[in-house]
Amino acid sequence: MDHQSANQTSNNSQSITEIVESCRVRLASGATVEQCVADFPAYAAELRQLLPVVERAQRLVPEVAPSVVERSRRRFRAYVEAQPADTGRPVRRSGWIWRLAGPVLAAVILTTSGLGLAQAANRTLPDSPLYSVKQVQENLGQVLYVTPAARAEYQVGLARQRLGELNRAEVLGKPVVARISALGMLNATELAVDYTLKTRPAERKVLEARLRPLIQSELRSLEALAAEVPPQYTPSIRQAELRLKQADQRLAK
Amino acid sequence: MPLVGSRRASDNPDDSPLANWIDRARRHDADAWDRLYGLGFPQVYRYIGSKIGPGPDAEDLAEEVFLGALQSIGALRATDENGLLAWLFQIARHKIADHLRRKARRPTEPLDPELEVDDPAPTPEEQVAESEERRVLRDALTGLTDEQREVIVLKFALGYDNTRVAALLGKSPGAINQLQHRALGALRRLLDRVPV
Repeated sequence: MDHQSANQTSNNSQSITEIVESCRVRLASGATVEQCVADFPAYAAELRQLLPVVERAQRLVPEVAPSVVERSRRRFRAYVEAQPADTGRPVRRSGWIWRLAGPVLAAVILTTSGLGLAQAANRTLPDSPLYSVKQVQENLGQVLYVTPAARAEYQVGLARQRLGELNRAEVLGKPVVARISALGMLNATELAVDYTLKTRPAERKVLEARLRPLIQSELRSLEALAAEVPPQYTPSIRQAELRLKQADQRLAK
Repeated sequence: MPLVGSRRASDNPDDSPLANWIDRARRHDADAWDRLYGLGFPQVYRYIGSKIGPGPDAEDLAEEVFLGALQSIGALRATDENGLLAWLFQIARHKIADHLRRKARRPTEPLDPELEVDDPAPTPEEQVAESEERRVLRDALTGLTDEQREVIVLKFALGYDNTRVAALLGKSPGAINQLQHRALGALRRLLDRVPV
């Protein structure tokens, strides 16, 4: 094909593409293929071949139901709010005193309202009204640990808590609740690994000796959970397993 | 909820530019993530649904995309909607690849048709037929090149215009036009081979 013919072919494909684009918009608004073809009779043959494909492609995936979006949005927000505030970037606060004020106030309330409340919260699961009390206790605890080793130890403790919740929820026949704890367990374990990798060699050996068996226990629990959750949650459990294995590999290096 | 990013900033937080929400999301602001989720989830869900089918799997993977985004928001340099979507879709492609690999190892298929989609089909029989139609089309799309498939999905399934598709794929609008032309032709030939 010489240069002139190639240019003409290119211009023709450009023109038909522009026509297909305008028809795409019309088809999306409810027009039929024949209505579009009627406006471009010179391209009728080609449009009758291409526009049905465009129509089918437009039906490839329907709009997601607002109820699905809302349900998912609430779930994700709950997860974001349950994460530690420190993600490696400084959070703008008025000062360290205000950072402590919330948890300290919560601790005072817990103490004056009776130690039993705090103790009762310790064994709660994410679907319990007392779970928020447990989260306040844990948030308070995080403030007190400064060095990487101390933070790693603390996250190991949290990961063990979440693993315990996961196993309890499974026994109680609450696989969806167990999944929530599994996500918290994964997050705490990954943070523990992050902090461990920042510690001095001697501290790191001790922390690795605690973390690696914990990760194996977590993987066994996730394997059991994957068999019990509704099918739509299995991929997230498998993804959690993969991330735990990756965390273990980071420790092994 | 209308997409923001090109509006002028004002004192009203609801009118904040998208860049501001992204910056706040980097600082783990739950309200900012709420906003980004509301904007991005429907599009990520439909992007994933166009590749693996709408329904619970697509919903789960779309959530996984945002979990991944939460972990890696520090690496995001985009300040506009196209940049944000390109980043989310990139994460989604990894999730889809992992999902398809796992599915290949577990070949059982759920029997229920796609659930809870905003679909005007009124009867279960029509829903099953629509589901089969989509499956045929998804299968045909696997016969295209990666670029051709992306153009078909972004342009026709998600309804983006040429400018947006070009920005998402890092190509010129002219290149997108040529890709589209070839992709439609190739897809038509693939669909013609499917027995009725």
